[in-house]
Amino acid sequence: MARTSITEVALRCYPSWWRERYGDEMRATIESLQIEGRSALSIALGLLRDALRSHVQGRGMPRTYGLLATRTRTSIATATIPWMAVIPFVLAVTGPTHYTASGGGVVAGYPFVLSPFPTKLFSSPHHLHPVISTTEWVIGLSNMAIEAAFLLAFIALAIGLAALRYGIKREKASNRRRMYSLTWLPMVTVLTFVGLAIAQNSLRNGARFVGSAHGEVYLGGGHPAVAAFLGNLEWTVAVGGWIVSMVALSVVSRSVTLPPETLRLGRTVSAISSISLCVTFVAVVIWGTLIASRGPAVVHAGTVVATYPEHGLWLLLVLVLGVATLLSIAGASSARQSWRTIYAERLWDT
Amino acid sequence: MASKRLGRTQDPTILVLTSLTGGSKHGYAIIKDIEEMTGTVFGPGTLYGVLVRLEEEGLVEALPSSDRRRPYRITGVGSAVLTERLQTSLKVATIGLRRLGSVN
Repeated sequence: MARTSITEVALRCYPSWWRERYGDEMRATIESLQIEGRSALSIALGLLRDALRSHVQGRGMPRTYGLLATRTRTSIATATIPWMAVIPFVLAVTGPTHYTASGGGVVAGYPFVLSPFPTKLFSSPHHLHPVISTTEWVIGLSNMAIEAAFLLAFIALAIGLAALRYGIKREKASNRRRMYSLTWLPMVTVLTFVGLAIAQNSLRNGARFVGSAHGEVYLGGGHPAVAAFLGNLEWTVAVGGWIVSMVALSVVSRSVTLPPETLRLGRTVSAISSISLCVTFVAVVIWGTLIASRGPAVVHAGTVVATYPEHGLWLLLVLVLGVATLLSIAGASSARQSWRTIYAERLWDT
Repeated sequence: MASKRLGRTQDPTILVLTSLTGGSKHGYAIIKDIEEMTGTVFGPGTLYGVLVRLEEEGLVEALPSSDRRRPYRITGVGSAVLTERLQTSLKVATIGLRRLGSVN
């Protein structure tokens, strides 16, 4: 079997339209350079750099609707999939909180809870937010910004997926049925997760009050084993389903045929995902820095302080989020550029 | 070498266009010509990155070829752009060298 050279592997990294146009003459040039003793590795590294540039900039790409539509779809996926990949990590680190206050043993939450997750408000008696320091306010607002950005992008993604399904149905391509099914995966994952969470909570809440001692409340009965099983299933569905959804959307972005208006909406969704990631990045940096500078939570008289048990991961989160944000911005700007070319030259008529 | 501190001061675009002013050439011939002119060693990735851009902007054009080595030639627009750029560079070089006292 013939061994594939490193330069040939690097050449295959170029977009297909590029290889069709320049591949043969590039091979001839490489062969001549190798005969005179130029290192294959240095040639391959140069090719990889240029291949990446060709993918990102799309220079020299023929102006056809098919090629530019593929580029737009891939760019939309590049902008939205990093959001999908990083957002569970963001919520897992910034979401869990414990609230404490010194005044009379009050345990209270922020007045601005904007969260789909029921983790934040405990109050007995109902002494809500007696005093919150400026630092706590800013930390809380950052948290709120993260959750608001998440909700905005989530809604945009849901609308985008609905439009994608409509576009797939309209185009009637040969692979329509398979592509259509794949677009439902994110929604099925979310709905299953929510359903399991509700079932688990209702089983847990079915437990009876059996007494209290030293301020602790004891519950009995219910179905703790089933609730625990549902909890495990919930996270398995969440993690597995989300990963499969990302792979499915990558597949769809490569091979589905879409009308221009769906691409235009997709471009908007990619811009929203990218803006959402930028906002999240800034908010996480503020959130993490303030908590780090505040140090271990010290409860002053009458002051509500939130502690974040997963805060130790914030630097890693900033790093991952930074990479995802850059990818998303690159994808969104590429989607915008490709769509502008399609629109300016009315390529859907060709 | 002290000049290395300035990094790459020669624009690859100008080098490729200048090479093509001597007549149409294919990729390998352009690389060798630039190497002889300036000592700059181009990889094929860099060369084709420049050629694709120049072709898209209409500054060079590919000629038909019977074998795999496709020659390129500079267009009229390419010649005009190159002339303008070289004149600016010449002006800067002349002023700079005069101020340094290297030429009268």
